[in-house]
Amino acid sequence: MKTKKKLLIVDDELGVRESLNLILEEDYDLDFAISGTEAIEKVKNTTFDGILLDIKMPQKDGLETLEEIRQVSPDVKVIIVTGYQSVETATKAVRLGAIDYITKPFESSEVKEKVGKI
Amino acid sequence: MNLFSLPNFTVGLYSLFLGIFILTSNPKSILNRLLFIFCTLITFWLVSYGIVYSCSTVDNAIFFSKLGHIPVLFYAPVFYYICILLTKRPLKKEIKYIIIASIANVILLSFLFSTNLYIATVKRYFWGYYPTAGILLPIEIAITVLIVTRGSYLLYITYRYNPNKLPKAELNKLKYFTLAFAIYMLSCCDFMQKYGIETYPLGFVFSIIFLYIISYAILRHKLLDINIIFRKGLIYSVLLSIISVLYFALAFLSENIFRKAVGYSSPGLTLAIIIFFILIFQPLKNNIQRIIDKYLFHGSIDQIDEENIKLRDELQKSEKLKAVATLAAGMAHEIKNPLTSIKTFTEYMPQKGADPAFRDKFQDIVGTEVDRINHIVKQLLEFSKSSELELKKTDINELLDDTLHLLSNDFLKHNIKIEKQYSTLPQTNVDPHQMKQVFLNLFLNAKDAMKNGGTLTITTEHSDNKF
Repeated sequence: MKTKKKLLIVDDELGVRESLNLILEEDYDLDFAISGTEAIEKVKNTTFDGILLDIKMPQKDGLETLEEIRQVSPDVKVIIVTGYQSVETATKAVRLGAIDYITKPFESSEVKEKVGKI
Repeated sequence: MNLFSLPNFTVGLYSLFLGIFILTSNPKSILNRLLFIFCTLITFWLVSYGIVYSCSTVDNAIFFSKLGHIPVLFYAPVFYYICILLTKRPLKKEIKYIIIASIANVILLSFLFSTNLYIATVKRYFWGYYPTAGILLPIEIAITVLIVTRGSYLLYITYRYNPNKLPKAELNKLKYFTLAFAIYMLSCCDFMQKYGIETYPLGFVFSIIFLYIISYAILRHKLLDINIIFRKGLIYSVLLSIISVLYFALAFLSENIFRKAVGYSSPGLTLAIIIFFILIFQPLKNNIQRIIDKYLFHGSIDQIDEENIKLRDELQKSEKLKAVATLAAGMAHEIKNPLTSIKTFTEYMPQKGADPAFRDKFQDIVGTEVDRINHIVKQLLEFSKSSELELKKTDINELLDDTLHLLSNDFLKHNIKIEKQYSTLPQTNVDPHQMKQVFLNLFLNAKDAMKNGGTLTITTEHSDNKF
């Protein structure tokens, strides 16, 4: 039996976490974090194949979290999830090693396609 | 006092007042400063020549003729500098013309008082004394013509072809100045009398037309960005002119009587005494003007007040609309999160609708997200409408957080981080809705001031019954 890839979904919104769970639960082994701080702790303790990371979170935003994740796990593949698309944020995210970008509200097919790159 | 001097004094004084008004309206503007200098040069010239007409001795007439010629030397460089500013030409390229003309005129100036090569002597005409030209005067005329021609050329090509792509408002400004200066140049007709032509010098006529054009452009078209309220009406303007003429005539008459009583014949003292009487009679002029305002134009002050109130209301509405627009943009983004959940769950309904666990989650999450969208829309509607004052005990820190939350997406978009330094505050009697609007406007102003992003620090503290 093929081992499922392990993904960490980081978003402070329950609705978004449940939506991504609905889309990805069949094909991936999912874990969840509701903040940047929790996400970094989980990355320190577990090896993930990929992370879906929300940009806008209270206290520590997605880009700050990504910077710290890179120090702990330089090779993990990260996809940014956000409702606000800007060239500047996209550039920063790519510079920090994000492999792609998903905007909300997302299509399930788009999520599956982009997560498939992990 | 020679009545032929009166027009020169009147126009000269008007020029001085206009120059002072232009300068005080915007003392930092180079253009305003240059116009002040130009108006002062006009005053100097006209008043000096007015004194020349009234002089009783040849020596005094020659002295004041030479004095009155000093401003004439500097019209051209000042005019040229104004042209450079209006046409937005690079100053570094053009400054050489101003420097050359100024140096040439300073050299000519050195001959003005020390020799009779410039102003040879004076001749008596029906209006009084008038200077006659020396051999150096044509050189000054030639320099002036060259500089003025070049300045006029710059004005013309800028207005006609607009090579520097000036906006319409700047071209409009240029049009008025070009017209005004073109008319002012005609006052050089006063050179004719220096060569023996016996016609009353009408330079003051072109000067007053120049000053009226500038005044009109300031009042009607906010030339020089001066925005003043001015009393409309031909009748008012005529009455004001009559009062002004009577006022100056009263000053001159008083000086005449004073001179006959005391017995002096110095033109300088004459001018000083006239100014003294003008200042003494100023309160009388103001009272007459107030009476006219009160009985003939009592509506105009009320109208101005009404307009001010209307403008203030419109400004407040426009600021509120701007705040609501920013909020709407942020809230539109805020709605994306609940929409994401609703979209995904409805997409999976056909596939998973039979699963009771899915249906329970659907009901929970979709229901909550719809309420959330409703709450966001309600907040926006609340902000956009006016409300009666409703005081209630409120936590100010919570109000600040609520307002910050509304703008969180906007701050994110503009790379603005929020740093909160809250102290514990007691519950305070405020209208939460109006306080949120106040905080919203403060935060929007802060955001506008931080065009390159940064950190916005919000501090609250409580001391001595105020916070």
